[in-house]
Amino acid sequence: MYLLLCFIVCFLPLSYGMPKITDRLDLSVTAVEIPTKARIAQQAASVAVHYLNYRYGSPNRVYELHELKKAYTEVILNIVHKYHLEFEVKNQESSSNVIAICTANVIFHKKKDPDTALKCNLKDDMKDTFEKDNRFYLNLQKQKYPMVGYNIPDNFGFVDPKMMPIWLLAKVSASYIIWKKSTEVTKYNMVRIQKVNQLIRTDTFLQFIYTILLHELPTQETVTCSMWVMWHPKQSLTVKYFCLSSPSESFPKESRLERFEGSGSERFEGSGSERFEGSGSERFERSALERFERSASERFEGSASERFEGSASERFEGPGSERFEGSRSERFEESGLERFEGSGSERFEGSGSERFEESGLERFKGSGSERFEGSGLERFEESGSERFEGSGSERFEGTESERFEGSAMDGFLMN
Amino acid sequence: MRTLLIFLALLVAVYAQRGFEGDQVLRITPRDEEQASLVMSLEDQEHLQLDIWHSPMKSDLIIDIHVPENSLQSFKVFLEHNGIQYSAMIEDLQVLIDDEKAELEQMTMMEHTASSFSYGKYHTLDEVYSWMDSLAIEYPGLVEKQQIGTSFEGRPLYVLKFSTGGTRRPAIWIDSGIHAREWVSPASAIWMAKKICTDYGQEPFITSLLRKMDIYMEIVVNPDGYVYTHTKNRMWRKTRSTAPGRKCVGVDANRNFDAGFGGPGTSNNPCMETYRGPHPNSEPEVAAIVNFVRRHRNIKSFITIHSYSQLLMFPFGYKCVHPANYQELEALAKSAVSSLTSLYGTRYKIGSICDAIYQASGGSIDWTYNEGIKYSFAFELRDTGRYGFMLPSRQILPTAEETWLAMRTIMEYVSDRS
Repeated sequence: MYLLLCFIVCFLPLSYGMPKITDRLDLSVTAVEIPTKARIAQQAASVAVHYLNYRYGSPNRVYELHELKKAYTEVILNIVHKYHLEFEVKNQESSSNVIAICTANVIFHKKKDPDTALKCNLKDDMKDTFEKDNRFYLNLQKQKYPMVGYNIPDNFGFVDPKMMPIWLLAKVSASYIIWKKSTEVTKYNMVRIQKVNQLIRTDTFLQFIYTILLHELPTQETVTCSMWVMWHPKQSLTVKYFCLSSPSESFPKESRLERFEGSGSERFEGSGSERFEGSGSERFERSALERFERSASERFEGSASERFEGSASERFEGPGSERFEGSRSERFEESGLERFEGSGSERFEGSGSERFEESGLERFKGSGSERFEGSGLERFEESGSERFEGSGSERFEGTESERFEGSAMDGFLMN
Repeated sequence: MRTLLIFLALLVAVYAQRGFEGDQVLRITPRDEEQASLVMSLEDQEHLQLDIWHSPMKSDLIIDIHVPENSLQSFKVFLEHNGIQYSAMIEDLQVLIDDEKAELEQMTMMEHTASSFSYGKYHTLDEVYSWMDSLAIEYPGLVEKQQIGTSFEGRPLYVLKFSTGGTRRPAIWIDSGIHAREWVSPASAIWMAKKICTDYGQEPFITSLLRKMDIYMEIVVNPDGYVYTHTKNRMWRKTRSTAPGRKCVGVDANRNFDAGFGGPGTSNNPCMETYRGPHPNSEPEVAAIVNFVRRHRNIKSFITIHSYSQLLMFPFGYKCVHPANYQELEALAKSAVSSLTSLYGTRYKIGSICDAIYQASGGSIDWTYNEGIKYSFAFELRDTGRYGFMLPSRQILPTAEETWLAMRTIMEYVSDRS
C-alpha cells in the first residue's frame, strides 16, 4: 500500500507537463495553414483545451485558451479532419499571469469521438496548484458528512466560496464529456451543477456524483449529464458519464421515451442524441430505461446497427447545418430536464423512466454508491465490454488510451 | 367574553378613522394673554371637539386649532365676536391627508424602484416595469414609456423613448432580453438607460446626440420568457407561445424574423430551442418590433443585445455572404470593441454572424439590414462560458459600463451620418 503510494508520488510528478503521446504531434507536410480566427480553428483549439483540463486540470488548475498562435488542417482519407495547433493557455484560477504554451493535434472523426494528442509546458504551475489542491483534498477528508450541493451557480450566478472547488472540479470533469462530445460543428459549455453528492470511499480517492447541464451550440439545447468523478490531487481524473438531451419541456404525458432508447449505448458514451438524426422513432418500442434497469446488456441487443442506419454518415455532410433540418429534429421531443429535477416521475408514468428517476438517480443518493459500484457501473463495464468488444466499450474507461485503437463500431458503420 | 367586547369596542374607537372632510386648521393670533386664555378655555367644551395643534407660549401666543366642520361656524362666530384675529391654515384637512397619502405611496414605490433600485442586481419583470415608470417620472422631459404591443401571454411590450422633442427624428433602436435566459442583457440595458438620463445635460456626447436623434430601448423583448426564467426554468430561451397541434411551447424569437426564414440554423420542430415558428412574425413579440420599425421609417441603427460569448456582430447570419458595407461595419465594430476593451480589458471578437458564430436564419438584424437599416449590430455580452448565462450579478455593472463605451462609439458614428 505504501509502496504503491510512494510509487505514485515519485513518478507522477514527472509525468506532469509531459504527456506520453508525443509522437503524434508532428506536423505533416500535407497540412495547410488556416487563419487562427477561423471558427473551425478556434473550435479545434477549444477541444484541445478541454482535453488539457481533463488530463491536467484540477480545482486549482482550470485552463482557458489565451491565444491561438498557429493552426493547420489536414484531411486524411477523406473521413478524418486533423488539426495541428499551437496555442497559449492561462490558468483561470491562478493569481499569476503565467501563460503556458501548448501544441496539440486534434482529430475529428466522422463517426467517433475526437482524438487528441497534447503537449504543454505546465511545470511552473504544478507545484503551487498541487498544494492548493491538497489543502482542499485534506479539508474534505476531514469532514464528518459527505458533501452535497444543488444548483451551482444559482440563478444569479452566485457560487458559495465553500463550493467553488467542487464547482471547478466539475468543470474540469465536464471537460472530459465535452471533449468527447465535441465535433467541428458542435460545441459545449458546462452551465451549472444541478446536484452533486459525495460518496465516501475507503481508499484515498474522493468521489462525487454530479448532475450537470451542458449548453450545446449551435443548437442552443440544454443537455443533462450524470457524471461520476474520482479524484485525488496526485492523480489524473477518472470520469464516467451518460447524457440525455433535454429539449423544450411541455411535452405531453405520453412521453416519447421511446426516443431515448435507440440512443442506447450511445447515450452511455454521452453523445446520444446527435446520433438519432433522421433515424426515426419506429425502432423504439419499449422503454430503454427498463431495459437498462434489468440488464445493460439486453438493451444493446441489435440496436447498435440500427442506430447508425443512415444517421451517423449524415452527420458530417457539409458544414453540419443539416443537423437542423426538420428530419434531424425529431430527436428532441422530450424533456430530460424535469426528470432530473425530481418532478420527472409524473411525466413518465409507466414508461420506465420513473424507475430511472427513483431507482436511477436516487440510487445515486442513498444506496446509490453501492449500486454504482456494485451493479450499475460495473454492469456497464462488464457487459459493456463484452457486448461492445471493440465497439466502444473503451468509452467507459476514464482513460483515453484504448480509444485510439479504433472502434469496432466501424464494423457497423461501414455500410 | 365581556372584557373581549369592551376591548374590541376600544379598538374600534381608537382606530376608526372618521373622515376629516371640511375640517379646517385655524391659526389664531391673540392680541394678548387674555384673548389667548379665552380661546384655550373652549378646549373644555367637549361638544366642539377642538384639537389644539399648537398651544400659546409666553414668547408667542399663536394657537393652531383643528376645528371639525360641525363646530366651524360657531367657533368662528365666537372669535369674531371677541375680536380675535385668525386665518385658515388648512382649508380642508381631508384633502391634505389624501394628498399626503398619495405622495407617500408614490415615494415608497419610487424608493423601490428609482432611487433604491439596484443596478447591480438582476430584477424580476415587475421590478423592471416599475422601474420604467419611475424613470419616466424622474426624467419627464426626456423619457417616455410607450407600449408597442402585447406578448403572447398578455403582457405589455414597452419601449422607452428618449427624446428632446421634434417629430420622428432619426432614431437609434436598442433591444435586450429577446432570449429569456440571457439575464445580463436586460440588466445592462437598464443601466444604460439610466446612464443616458444622467448624462443628458451633463455630458456633451449624449446631450448633442439627443438634440438631433431619438433613442428607443426595448428592455424586455420577451417578457413571458423572462418571467418563466424567474419562476420555472432558468434555462428557458424562447417565447412562451403555444398553438393547437404544437407539442411544445415557445418559438425562438431570433429565428422568427423574415430574413432567410426557415433556412439553416433553425428548426421546424417546436420542441427545439431554435424552433423558428410556423411563419415569420408569428410571435407577437417579433411582430411588435417589425411593426414599430416599419411605421417609424426613420431608424438609422438597430442594435440587439444578447449573451454570452463576447462578440460584436453584424449581418448576415442567414447567408454566409458579406453585406455591401462590410468594410465599414467591420471597421466600426473594431473601433467599438477597442473602446469596450479599454475599460476592463475584456476581449471581444467581431465579425458577421455567420463568420463569428454560425449560420442562423430569421435573425432580427438581418431583417433590419434588409429593411435599409445599414448599421445593424448584435452584441453577445460576457462571458465566454465560465458562467455563461448565469453571470454573477457582481459582473453586471462592469459589463454594462464597458458595453456602453462600445454603444457610444456606434451611436456617435451613426449620429455623424444622420
